[in-house]
Amino acid sequence: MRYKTLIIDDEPPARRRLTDLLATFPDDFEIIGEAENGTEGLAKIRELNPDLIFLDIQMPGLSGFEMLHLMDKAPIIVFCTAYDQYALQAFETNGMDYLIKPVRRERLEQCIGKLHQIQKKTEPLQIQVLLQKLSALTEKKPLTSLTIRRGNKMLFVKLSEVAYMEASDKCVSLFTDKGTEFITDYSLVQLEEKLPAHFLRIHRSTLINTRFIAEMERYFNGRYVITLKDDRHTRLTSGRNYQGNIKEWMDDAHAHPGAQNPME
Amino acid sequence: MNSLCKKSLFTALLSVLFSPVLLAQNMTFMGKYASQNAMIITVILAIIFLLLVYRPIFRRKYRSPYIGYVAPPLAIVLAIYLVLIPIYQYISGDAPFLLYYQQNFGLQPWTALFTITAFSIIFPSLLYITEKFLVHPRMSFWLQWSTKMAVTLAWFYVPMIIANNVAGSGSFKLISLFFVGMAVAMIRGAFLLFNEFSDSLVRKKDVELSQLKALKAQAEMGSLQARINPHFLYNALNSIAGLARSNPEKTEQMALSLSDLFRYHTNRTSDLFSTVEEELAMVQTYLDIEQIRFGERLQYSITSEPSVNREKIPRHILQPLVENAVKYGISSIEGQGRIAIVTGITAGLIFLEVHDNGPGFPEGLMCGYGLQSIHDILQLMYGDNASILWENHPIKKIRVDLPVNGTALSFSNSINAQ
Repeated sequence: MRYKTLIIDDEPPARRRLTDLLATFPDDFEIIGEAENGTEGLAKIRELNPDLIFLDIQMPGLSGFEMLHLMDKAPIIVFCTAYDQYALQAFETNGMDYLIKPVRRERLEQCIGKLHQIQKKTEPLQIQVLLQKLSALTEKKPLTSLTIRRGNKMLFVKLSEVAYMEASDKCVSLFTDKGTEFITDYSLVQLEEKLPAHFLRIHRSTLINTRFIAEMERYFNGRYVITLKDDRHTRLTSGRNYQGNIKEWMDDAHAHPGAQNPME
Repeated sequence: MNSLCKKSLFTALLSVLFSPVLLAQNMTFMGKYASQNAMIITVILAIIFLLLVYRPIFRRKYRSPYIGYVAPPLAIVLAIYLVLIPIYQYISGDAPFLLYYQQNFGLQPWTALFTITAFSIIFPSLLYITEKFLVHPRMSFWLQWSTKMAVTLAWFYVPMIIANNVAGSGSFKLISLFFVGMAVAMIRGAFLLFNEFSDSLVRKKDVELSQLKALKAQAEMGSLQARINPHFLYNALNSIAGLARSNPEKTEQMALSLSDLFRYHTNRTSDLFSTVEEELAMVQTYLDIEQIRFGERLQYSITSEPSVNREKIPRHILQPLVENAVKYGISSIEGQGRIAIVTGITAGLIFLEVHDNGPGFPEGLMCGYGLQSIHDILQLMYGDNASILWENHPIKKIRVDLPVNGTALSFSNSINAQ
């Protein structure tokens, strides 16, 4: 079978490389076009209806993955990327293939062998499932510090040094273990959303770093008095409505005792 | 465990030192009633008591040095007169001790107590004032120690002798005060020795710690500085492979630029600094490579005041900023991407600016921009004298300000010295 082939890559030399390589297999590939980003790729797929696309993942505008999300009918896909093969191996077993840049001729031959075994075109649904899997595999870099604009400079506050945060009228104050205070414009809700899981809301206006908890005492009305192991041994009282939140955390900490206080 | 050892050691030392004080008291005020058993029990009680008041007496650092002079002797004197001596007298069946002051000096009991307390405040205050002028931190420890001992004895004996001469001999029990003076000097001397001993241990640890920190910082900076993004490398090599047949000139240029960049990155012989000129040349090499990759889509300009070219800045402080501009700026827009690099000096600060026309920096929370490590390096080298700032309006730019050469030298020296 001779595949009608479309190349989607934002780098001209990379497209050139693929075109040259594919040209050495005239019995297998007929190059019907090139596109230099996701948007253009999408238009060309609709226009030219290729059997096969070579798709770069990192592209301006629409990335390779974003482009796939928008497609209702997909040709056979071969991903081309310089990124690690680790996450990409998911494609091998799912009727697709991937090439690592710089692309080697031998690897392309393998790919052709595999293409002949693939009878039908990939179902879009299958792609969606796969993309979800992939996004779970690719680890997000955790937030490690907050940046705070102070006049004409940026301050970096390491989260590992923030003991707790307290909201007042319009702003939130961060308190480090040394007792230094930083004032931010973010709201507690914004912060709670983006902060890693070891930050716990214990009060309408208080968010604490659970890694700094020294001890917790029961107080009346389902509240707790929490002592932190910062330099000032800060004592904070939790709100009644956050009892559930705290219990949940305690159960978690109990289930994974190692995760509770990695600082020790 | 360690602190327990220290505690017991301190206590043992102190109880030995307290004996002459008790002995002196014994000889003058209650000699004939002295009982050996009472003495032993009191010493044991003194040990227990000292364990309890360990903290205020042995606290190493007081907020003001003056309190450091006054607090320990006051604590010790009050401990002796309010706790230990009454206990001793109670056990030995003696009369209340303050009566002795009445008998010997003609002082009312509470006046006597007041006098003793006042003395234990005034005496260290005098020492504090005198030593402020006589003792310098730069003097060797033993010189400091002997000066302090001399000052202690002088302040104890000189007024005593003068008073004795003025009031005529016999008004004071000279011999007992002589023993008390010796005891005070001995206690103080021992304190100073012990403090010096534990201080030197702490100092040794501190030095080790700071060496470790410096080494760690160096390693961190080394790893940061030597880092070339592997994806960048693979993409560049892919471009070389793609261009090899059709465009030999560009292929050649790319291979040369890539080796220049690598040589600069892996050069470990020189120090942590390089000139703005070198940094800019490397950034240009980097952008040349990216320009071949991205073709027409990437345009860049580099503007630099001639005065800044020879200034020293930390190596590879600029390139991550430009990498960000490519990665989060140019790579994210479909049209023409423009990067401008501007450097110069204003108000004694070198500024490095990178502008691009990509999507703006996210407001507030940032991660993954590699800026934390730049910030850490700046903090390490310049403290609060350097800064990073970014903004999206009127143009998207990120700016680093750092002091003109000099401020950072101590850091590089301390690392080179190792």
